[in-house]
Amino acid sequence: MAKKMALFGIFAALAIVAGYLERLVPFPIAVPGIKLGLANVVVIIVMYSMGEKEAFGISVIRIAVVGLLFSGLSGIIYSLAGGLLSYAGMVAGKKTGLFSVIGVSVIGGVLHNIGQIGIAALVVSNIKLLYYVPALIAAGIAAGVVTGFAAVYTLEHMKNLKST
Amino acid sequence: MIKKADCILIICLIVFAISFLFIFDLGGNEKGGQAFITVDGKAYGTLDLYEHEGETFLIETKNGSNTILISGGSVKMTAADCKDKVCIHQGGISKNNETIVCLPNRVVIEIKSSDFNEVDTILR
Repeated sequence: MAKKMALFGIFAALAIVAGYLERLVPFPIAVPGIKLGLANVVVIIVMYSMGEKEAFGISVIRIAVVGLLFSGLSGIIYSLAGGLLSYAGMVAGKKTGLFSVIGVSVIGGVLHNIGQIGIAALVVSNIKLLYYVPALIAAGIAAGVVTGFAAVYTLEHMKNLKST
Repeated sequence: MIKKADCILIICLIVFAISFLFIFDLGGNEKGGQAFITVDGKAYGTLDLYEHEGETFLIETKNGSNTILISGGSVKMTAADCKDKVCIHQGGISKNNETIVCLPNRVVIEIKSSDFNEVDTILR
């Protein structure tokens, strides 16, 4: 139990740092609140090593802390929309058993962007924002593949960690 | 490591994105002539991109203020009092349907083709 708590704490810290680092990377097609979703790698690792409930916890903690520190309450709404949609999609994708970690990660990356642009379009009441959906899907796929591979390699090393 | 379903998923997403591009991209890649500004989903004003060459405009909302600059047929956000400055990083837009969004201030600038532009095309 204590070990699990410690691990959860480390992952939460990692996710927050990843969320911060992500803010430093300018996104080529800047649409409000859209990020590459690199912090997602931590959520995926937790989902596959600890469980779905824990991954949900990490996701919400990251969004709340990063949001409060750097973007304020309004930023949290967009991140939360992206984060929760992404989480729900990944859990569903994982449960089907069809996809590998990489496929699940791609689902997460794409839905993350779609959720944020959807909320943004709602907030400014302007459907024209959907103009960016194709670009965001492409970005989500690319980010999903990268984070997927990062998660796969990390998970392999974590197996060794557990046996020692 | 990668399963077949992963590849199918990625291909489906790409096909969806491309078809979305065709459905939504009615304006094409043609240059627009006007900047249409909305605040909170309500029309705020329309600016002709050629008549106002080199001019800056202040958009004041109850949430904050933004400054836009019109130059060379494109419009860009040069100042905003919001925290994230995403809109400024976005740079200039000039093509039909392109948008700049300042979410904290709920300001949307979109490009529309103007009558001026249509006349110009016909004359050519």
